[in-house]
Amino acid sequence: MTSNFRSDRRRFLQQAGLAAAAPAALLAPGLAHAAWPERPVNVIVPWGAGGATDAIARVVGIEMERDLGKPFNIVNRTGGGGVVGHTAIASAAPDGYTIGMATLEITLYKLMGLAELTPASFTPIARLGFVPGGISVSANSPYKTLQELVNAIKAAPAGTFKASGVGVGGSWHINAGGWMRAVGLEPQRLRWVPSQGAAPAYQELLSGGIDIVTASPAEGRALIEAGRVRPLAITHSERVAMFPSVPTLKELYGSDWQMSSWMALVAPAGLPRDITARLIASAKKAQESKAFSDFLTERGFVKVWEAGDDLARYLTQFAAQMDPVVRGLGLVKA
Amino acid sequence: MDALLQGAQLVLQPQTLIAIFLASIFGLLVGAIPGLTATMAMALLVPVTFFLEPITAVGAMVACSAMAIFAGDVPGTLMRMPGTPASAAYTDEAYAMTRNGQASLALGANVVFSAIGGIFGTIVLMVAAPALAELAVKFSSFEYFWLAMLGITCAAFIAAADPLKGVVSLCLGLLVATVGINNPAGQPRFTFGSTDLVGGIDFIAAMIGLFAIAEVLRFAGSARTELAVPQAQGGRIFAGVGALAARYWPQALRGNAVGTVIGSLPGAGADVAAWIAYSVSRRFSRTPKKFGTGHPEGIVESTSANNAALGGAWIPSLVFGIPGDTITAVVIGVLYMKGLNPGPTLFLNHPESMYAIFLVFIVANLLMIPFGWALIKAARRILSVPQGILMPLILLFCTVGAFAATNSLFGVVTMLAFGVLGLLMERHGFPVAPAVLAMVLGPLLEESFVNSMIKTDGELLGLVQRPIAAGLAAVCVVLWLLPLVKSLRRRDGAHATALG
Repeated sequence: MTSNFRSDRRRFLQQAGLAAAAPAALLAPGLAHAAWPERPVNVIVPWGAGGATDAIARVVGIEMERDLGKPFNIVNRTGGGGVVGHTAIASAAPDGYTIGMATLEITLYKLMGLAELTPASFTPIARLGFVPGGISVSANSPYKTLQELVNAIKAAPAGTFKASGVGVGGSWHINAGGWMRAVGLEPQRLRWVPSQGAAPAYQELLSGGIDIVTASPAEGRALIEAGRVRPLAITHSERVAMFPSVPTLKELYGSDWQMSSWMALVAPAGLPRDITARLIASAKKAQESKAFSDFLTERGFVKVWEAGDDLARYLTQFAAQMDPVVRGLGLVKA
Repeated sequence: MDALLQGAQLVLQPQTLIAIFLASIFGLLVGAIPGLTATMAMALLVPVTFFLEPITAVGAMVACSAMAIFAGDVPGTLMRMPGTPASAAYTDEAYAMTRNGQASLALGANVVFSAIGGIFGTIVLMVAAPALAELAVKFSSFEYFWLAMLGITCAAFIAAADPLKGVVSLCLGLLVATVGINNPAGQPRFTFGSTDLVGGIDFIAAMIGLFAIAEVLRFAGSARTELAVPQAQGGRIFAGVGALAARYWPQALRGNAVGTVIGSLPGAGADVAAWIAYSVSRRFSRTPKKFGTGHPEGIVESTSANNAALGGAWIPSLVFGIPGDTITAVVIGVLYMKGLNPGPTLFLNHPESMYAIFLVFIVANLLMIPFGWALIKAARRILSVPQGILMPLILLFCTVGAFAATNSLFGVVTMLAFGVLGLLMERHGFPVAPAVLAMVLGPLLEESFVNSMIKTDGELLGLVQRPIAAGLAAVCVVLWLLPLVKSLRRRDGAHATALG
């Protein structure tokens, strides 16, 4: 309710502003946005400073700043499982001065009844990178392969095995549900223990509080390299460079289920086409920079490029993939 | 030894020393401004670290955070406004000292014991990092539940005169902590359809309101024009600190130890360390009645603890890449970007970087004494500004801080609402501290309880079936029973006298 009121008020102010600017616009018809950007651009990050989304936004921001010659300010609007920040992006004025680094949650909020946000609330700019999920157990777990683990889950009553990686309804929770479906089990077979993120989940794994983590192995890299955590599979179509010896779920079970945590540059819906095009071009340059590549390799991210309409199609397809799993996990609000 | 020398070379580079120097000043300023936290100082530093060498970047962050945690004591002591949440535990105590004309002693104690605490935490970090991290990493939700319970229990002790009012305040804080979607079930609670409330009530904005805005409002509502101006005393900041050290060294040592251990627990940082150290100090003091009246004992212990916690927080961060607090959460992000990936392999692959980080800690804590002295001198000058000018300035800084905490006007609204709440609470004798503590620990308590119940299928006994959890539970139960035992004993005593 409040957000509607807000955007109405904002729209009113905007129109008032447009009215005031009308004489200037008459003098320069057709060149309305030619000068964009004339002032600093705010990049809203719906997640905390220091996290992966924040870091990727900062690296891209620096490159785009260099390219477009105006500061790109990173603004962390955290809380509410990303709802607050994503809403702030969607309800901003579509003038190119507020953009944001969105994450896959934008395809899920509406379905789960958490916010009136869908991919249509945004102008897609570009999906830049993703980090593939995985299935990991503690190094002192008796399961050496994914098959052993799956057989044990099949043999035990539902809820015996506890998994974690993120809060209820987060990406890695859905990964757990999708994996269960992929091996012919009901999505709720694993008991989900919510956590504040991958790092606390890996710690729970070490402390023996849970059995499985479905977050990305890259997020548990230090523990895996120290021999404390054993990654059994990657939930992506291909193996990842950081852990070349870890097989994919597809290799082991022939399943097409994949889940990655991705980040995409977006703007409020209704961004003028010329600004969209310039943002895409600049994001492309940033994505091709060495700094960006180094950063991705370091963090175990995979580079990807889908821009504009391609990204819009990807979002639709992604949402369709998630839908049955989210329903199977009982996360859809009636 | 080679690695140690290489580490020293890394630290002694001119650019590293300059970065430490500038970051120290930055940390002091941000820490001294009420509402701007040490975490915020670190976050603001992140973009700068992009342009620095790895060790230079880490050095700047270490120096900045240490200075900010100490600097938070200065406005807390002089104006009853903690500069960072880590100073909140003993702000009332230190301000009471200022009112008694002992501002110099309080500030001197803050700077000296902060530096000692910081060095103690560093030494523990250097010596015991792997071993302590092994212990902390074994903590599951069961242990965290009891740790949060311990904190909540301590909140009842902090609640000064009237325990009942303290518990009311505690419950208010717990209620505030339930707002939003960040609960184990991921369901929106008390959001009334507002997107801002889905994110919950921001703790930093609320704390600025409860502590600083309430003070500004109190000033605005008072008839007197000069209010609570600290006595402008001579420069003898370090006079009397030696006597304090001689008298309270066991407390300082205990504060160092408590701070380091709590700091090394993932998620609990300098602020929780200070709260717990303060209540531990009061609990075991021979003169608990003097607490709250401007008694240095608790200040010595908790100001030691919050700086010791900084070093402690780096233990799980460096060894396992699990942040010990919000500050090190930012640091870990930078470490990854600089190719110094935290983890046990860091000790094998880059021992010189490890030593360099340890050396930076020591340099920063030694610098704290001259820099702290300079800050106190400058703070005095700031305070000789008439309150009528200072208060609006504070309001301005608080507003900036509350906005920066959330990057939205909602943070400012939160701050103002809690300012009014804080004023009302104080007018009616409800202590603010338990509410603040409950806001920090409430989510941890709920999450650890729900997660434990999910793991044990609702079996309550599961909470005490792990040895460390059982130990922490025993401590809690003893603390709960103490007042009962005491009052029973008192009654027995009274009974005996009546009979005799």
